[in-house]
Amino acid sequence: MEVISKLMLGFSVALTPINLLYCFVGVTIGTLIGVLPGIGPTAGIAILIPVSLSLPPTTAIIMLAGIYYGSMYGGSTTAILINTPGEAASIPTALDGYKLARQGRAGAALAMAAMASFIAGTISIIGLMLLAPPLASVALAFGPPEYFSLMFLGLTIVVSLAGKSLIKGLVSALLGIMISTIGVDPISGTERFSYGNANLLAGIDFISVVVGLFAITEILINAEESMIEVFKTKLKGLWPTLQDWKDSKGALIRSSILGFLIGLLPGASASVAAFICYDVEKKWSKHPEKFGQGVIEGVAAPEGANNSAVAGGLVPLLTLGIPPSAPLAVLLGALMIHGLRPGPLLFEQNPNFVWGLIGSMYIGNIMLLVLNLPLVGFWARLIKVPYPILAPVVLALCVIGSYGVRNNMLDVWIALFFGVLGFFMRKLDFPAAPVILSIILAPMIENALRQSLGISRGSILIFFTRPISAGLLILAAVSLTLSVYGRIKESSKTQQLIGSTSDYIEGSKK
Amino acid sequence: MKKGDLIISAILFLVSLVYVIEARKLPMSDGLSPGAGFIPFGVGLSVLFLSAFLFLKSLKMKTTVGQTVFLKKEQGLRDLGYIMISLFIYLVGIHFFGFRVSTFLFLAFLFKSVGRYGYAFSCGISLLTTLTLYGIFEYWLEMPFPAGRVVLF
Repeated sequence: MEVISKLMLGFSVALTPINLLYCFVGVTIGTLIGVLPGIGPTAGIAILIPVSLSLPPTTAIIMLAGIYYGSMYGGSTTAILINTPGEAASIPTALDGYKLARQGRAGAALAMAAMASFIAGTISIIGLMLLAPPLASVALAFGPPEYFSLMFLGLTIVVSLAGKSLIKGLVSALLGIMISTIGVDPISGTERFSYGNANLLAGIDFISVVVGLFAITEILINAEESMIEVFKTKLKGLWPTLQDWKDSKGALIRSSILGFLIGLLPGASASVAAFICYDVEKKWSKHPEKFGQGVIEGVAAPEGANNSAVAGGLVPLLTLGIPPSAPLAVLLGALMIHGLRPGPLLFEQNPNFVWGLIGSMYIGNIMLLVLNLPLVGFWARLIKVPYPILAPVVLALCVIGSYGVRNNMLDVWIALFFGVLGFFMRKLDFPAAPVILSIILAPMIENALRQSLGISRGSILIFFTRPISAGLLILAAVSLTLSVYGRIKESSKTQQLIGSTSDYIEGSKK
Repeated sequence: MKKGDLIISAILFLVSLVYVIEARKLPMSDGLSPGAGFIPFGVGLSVLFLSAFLFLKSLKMKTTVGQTVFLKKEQGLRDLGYIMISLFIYLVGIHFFGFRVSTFLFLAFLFKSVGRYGYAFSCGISLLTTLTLYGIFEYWLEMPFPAGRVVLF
């Protein structure tokens, strides 16, 4: 009953005109970001954080969160229509979605993607609503040692984000920590690596790094490769048939629950959830050989999973301050900029914000369904904007976004530097996501570590003698082990899926 | 990408070496707890060792046939160069000519050079885009962009 009354509070916040408006703005921009290859939700949220600074905190986060889950809706459009996933989480969608489009069933695939996203999103928000408060009350027992262990657990995500080479992933993460040490030490006030430069005393802003590493880098990578061809598929018949619903109903339920649970885990992003749920559905199916040839549940499962993982990821973010993925790491930064410190006290001190956000997600999901179904034709035409026109506009937006953080051109130069650096990192298989994650988490880890060792007078046993801290460190060890095992297993699965994707691309070219 | 890995690991080694040397100048302890230099020193050392490991691993790696070409020597490389150089000039230009003029010129240049559109189309779309960005960010959201030292309009 208490949850219901809090949800009513949330709806009363979410249904105010300004929050409704910016929820709509956020989900619309998110859908646009998802549709457009070359810019992801991480960069989209980062670019719009400065814009959000003029808004009340609750409104700002409603908009930014809307961008994230909106991009999951949008990413399926290009995946289905032109076999070019707008987001990594939509890669599995392309395997069957594009095949359906070539069979003249693009409308059914697009509609199923939208409805799967809506159903899974709604189910996962219920999970968020029910699980978040209990987790928050447990977290009230946290002190510096528990926070250190928790953030350390969060850092184990690096293994999942490391990409092909674990060593390179670790180097990327450590580089992020190095970047985060530039500026004034918050505990002792000592100047570190700023060499008297007044602009660097405040440190390197993570938004500039994100804009550079994701948005600018992506454009540079795309510029070097051939430009994306225009949309060619003809749309007909928007709605899935009754048989499509019968075939997909199991996939929808399974991907909603599994995607949410995967989203809870540090290191498991929406794309990981999408891959795993696609694989689970294929194994569950009586006709697994049909997957990849154009089966509707091959669209329903990954699309349900990636949306469900978004709400799942918000649980550790809001209750414990741990972002399980790159976009949520940026959202964590946005929360802190707006003076909202995620963690156990957030539910106590800012119930209007938390429940307002949850309420807005219900509303946002409905808005996305309304946007995506009738506007499928419109979104498809938007993809026809040639990339040589799109890319320069996005670059100008990157300049605006990074300048807007502190109204300082140094941040723009930093974004450019990281854009070029990110280009070479991508070429040499150094992943960018660990850099961002480390920049966000490292200051908190350092503070918690130094406070804890101050309490214990230098003894590290403090992390092992306190039950919650010890438990979290054990979880971190388990998470690391599972992540490494998962990397080995996912690597072989991904190779199979990539092999299938390559076959389809080759087949579609013929 | 053997050569690339060798170069980048060497660069990382040098950067982390400098970082470690600088970190040693910071206090390692505040008496009761680690000081400002504790984490930087540890992280710098870690990168030092990892980059050395990567360097040695790259040395042992065989260069295989069909490895990814680092930079494609085609039109894409030219477009890449256009974008990188024009971005640099764009940022310098903002200092001197302000946001609006620099953005217009930057967009027009890229539409012409990378998009290979005509002059009229490039300038038209660039003007439209610049005005839209001005309207949204400078006028509506009141973001104080640099006006530049040379005021053209």
